[in-house]
Amino acid sequence: MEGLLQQALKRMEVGDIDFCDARYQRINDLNIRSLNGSLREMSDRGMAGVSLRARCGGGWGFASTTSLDGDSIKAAADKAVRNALATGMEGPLLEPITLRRRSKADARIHPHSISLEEKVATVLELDSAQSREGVINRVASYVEEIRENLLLNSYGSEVGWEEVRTRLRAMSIASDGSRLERYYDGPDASAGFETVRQTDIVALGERTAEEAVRSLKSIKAPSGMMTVISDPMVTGLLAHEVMGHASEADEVVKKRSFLSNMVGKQVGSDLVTLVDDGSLKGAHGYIPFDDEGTPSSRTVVIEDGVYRNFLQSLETAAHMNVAPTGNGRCENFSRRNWVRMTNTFIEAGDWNLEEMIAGVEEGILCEKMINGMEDPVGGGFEAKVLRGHLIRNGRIADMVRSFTLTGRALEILGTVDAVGDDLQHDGGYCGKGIEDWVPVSSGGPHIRSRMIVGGG
Amino acid sequence: MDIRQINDAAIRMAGPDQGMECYSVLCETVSVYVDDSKVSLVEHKTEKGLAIQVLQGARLCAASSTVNEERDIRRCVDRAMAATKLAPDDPRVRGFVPPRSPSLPELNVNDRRIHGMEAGELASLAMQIVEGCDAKVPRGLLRASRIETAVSNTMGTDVWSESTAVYAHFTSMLDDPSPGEGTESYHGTHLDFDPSRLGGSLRAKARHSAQARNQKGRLQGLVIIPPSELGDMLLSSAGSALNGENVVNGRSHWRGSLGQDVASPEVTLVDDPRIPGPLCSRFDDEGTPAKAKTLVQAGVLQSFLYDNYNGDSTGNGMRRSASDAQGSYNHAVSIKAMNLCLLPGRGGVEDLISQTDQGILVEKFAWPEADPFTGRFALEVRCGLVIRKGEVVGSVKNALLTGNMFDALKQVESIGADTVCTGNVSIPTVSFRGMELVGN
Repeated sequence: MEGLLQQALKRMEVGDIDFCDARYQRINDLNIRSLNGSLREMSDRGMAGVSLRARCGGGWGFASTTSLDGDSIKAAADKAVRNALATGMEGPLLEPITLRRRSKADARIHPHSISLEEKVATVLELDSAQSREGVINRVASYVEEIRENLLLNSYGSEVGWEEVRTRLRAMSIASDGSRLERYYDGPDASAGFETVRQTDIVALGERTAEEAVRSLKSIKAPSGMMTVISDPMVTGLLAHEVMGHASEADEVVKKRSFLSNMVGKQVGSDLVTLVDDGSLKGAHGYIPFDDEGTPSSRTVVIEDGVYRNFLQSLETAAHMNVAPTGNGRCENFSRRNWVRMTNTFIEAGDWNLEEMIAGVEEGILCEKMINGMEDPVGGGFEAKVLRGHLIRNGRIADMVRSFTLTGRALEILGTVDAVGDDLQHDGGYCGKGIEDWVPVSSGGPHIRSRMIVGGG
Repeated sequence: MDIRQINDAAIRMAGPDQGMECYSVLCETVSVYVDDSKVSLVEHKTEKGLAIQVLQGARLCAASSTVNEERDIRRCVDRAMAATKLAPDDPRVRGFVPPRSPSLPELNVNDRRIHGMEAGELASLAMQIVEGCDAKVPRGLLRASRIETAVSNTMGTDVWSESTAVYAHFTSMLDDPSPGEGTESYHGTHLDFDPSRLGGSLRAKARHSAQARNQKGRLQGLVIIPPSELGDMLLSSAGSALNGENVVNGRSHWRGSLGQDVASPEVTLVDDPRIPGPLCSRFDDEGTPAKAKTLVQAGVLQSFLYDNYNGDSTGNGMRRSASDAQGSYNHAVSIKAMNLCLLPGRGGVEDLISQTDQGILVEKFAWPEADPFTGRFALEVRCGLVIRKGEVVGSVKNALLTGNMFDALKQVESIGADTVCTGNVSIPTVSFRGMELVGN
């Protein structure tokens, strides 16, 4: 494959092309999912292909193919060049770091070393552990993902690396005959099967089922501005959806980000420090290199409430005359490279949760997220929360069912008056707009702030 | 090797006594990306993939792979067969779909203009949208795909189809200290959209967003939701309730409600593959003939949608996605409407506005969806037009619209006639009672 990629590079290094890269990627996923004791999905997915990028002035030409013979790759190289020339854009020269490096994933127990029998047994055990009166649907799933990458570029880089991720999930849907509620839980990591071995499967299943049934007693959440204690998942959404997406420098270059002119300015309480760290081993968004071959790094986005740095790809770094930060990523070989987050989180403080709750006269404590949506233009925040608990006079009161949080990001961060000491990372996949999903994590500790709550 | 040959090879490799279903796809895609009102990236992508399901007794397993060469087919078959040995018996498993004749005539879902298309033509269309906008277009994507699919199984089913899909998504904003952002999308099978109309709509939405003021307090009245936002809200709620897998597993909101009122009498929902949309096809992705089905007639629930696993298939076992043709071989079969249509009423959005004494037209939510099981929602309104006495008097943002989609379907005030295809939903603008807008 290396020879074919070299040939493709040579073919693209013509005339006005000032940068090109050639990439091979193979992705293997194993998905095992059960529903009420039946294996609803056991699929072994493989995809492999080559992508070729050529840059002329400021415009990119891209071509990808799943046919890996020499002729198909050459034809794709020609298309990439033709497409780049067609854009007619102006732009700065890129300054990639030239590297020659190969690395294997940091997996103590590589998923390939574990039998399919054990993986199936794990899923069925997790399914069975959710059996409980009131639970109508028991869902258990195990996902492993192995990515092999090889990237060559016209500046002499030749980088090969492997990524391994595993994820185990339990989800219970409970019903009392008239209403339905659900709960989910489970670990994920950029790691091997040790993610599963370190988990008490039965306890995970039983707890998930029990919490789903408890949720049937939840009441409607109130609506209006109130004091909110976000749990690590919801704190992660705040970090990721609003500050993270708006810190992606492609949005800044085209002035689509409300943070475009904020470097050096106070954007939140001085308790808030926000980081994106692709080099955080074990976290779901860990990558040794981004998809342009730049080593991942730790970028301090907000430091003690002051805005510091954007996240950069090769292209945006050249536009802004700074170093790339290893955030140029793609969903896979056939997708566009954008500036993307990796592991984005708010750093821990020194409060414990009990202290935070004790200081709230009337408010709400969040528990687990459903999803969130970015708003880099307006700086708005929307997060759907799975459930929560009302807080009255410093004590936990009724459980409330799913609700939505919203507000202006800078106003929310400005009201943060307590940051917990319990930092956690939650893995998932992040889209830009509505597609281009890359593995990430988001997280933080419990934090206390003021937001608008809407109970549906 | 063409995709029918891929299926034949897979079935041959598995051996004569092996039950197998194969879904192969060839997808050629041209895309143009716009950044900051300029074409910044042009793409050509070619993809060939295979998904197989292997059946041994009551055990069913799946594997999928891109097909670079013949040994990929062999690997895919071997992996699925190895996995099947480990699967427990599943009493719900039934055989694969037997060969059947199509129920529908040829559909108009194949735009020859897209076959072998060069990027220049697509880039020119994208720039016509940008030029029609007359405001900044920070982000845009125009994508056209030619798709061949083939489904074969050891029961003798062998169907092939060719279609095209077009997807556009553009955003717009003014050069303003607090600009907000407008969005416009297009889903279809043909390159027959009007770029200047899309551009004009983007311009208007950018202006409304920039003018929007923070909503203060609560606003009662009618809520008018256009197709661009309502499509996903309907799909996430009614689409989930109509899904046979949810019915079988007791989590459909409409389980046990056949023959009962589930919506206002104005509401008729049909799944109609004859109305062209990106998923419309004469066969579903399991080889079952597709047909038009009435799901809700004048507010009364008539039927559900099924694939071949969950019941008597209605031709709704799908792998393909409505907005992106790539990667369908990697998706497990799930129940989807081919084209969930809310039958139109009368008049355009202007008529719905003029009939509204007090209310809001939601031009943009952060993410329009309802809970699939309960129907609850609380959605951030990023731009809403405030209506008083039949006229738009301003725009608001930073507010939450709260309600329940299953309740809302019973509180429909009016249905427009401005039907738009939004993926696998075709829907007009609708006004609802009973929702609440909450501001700061």
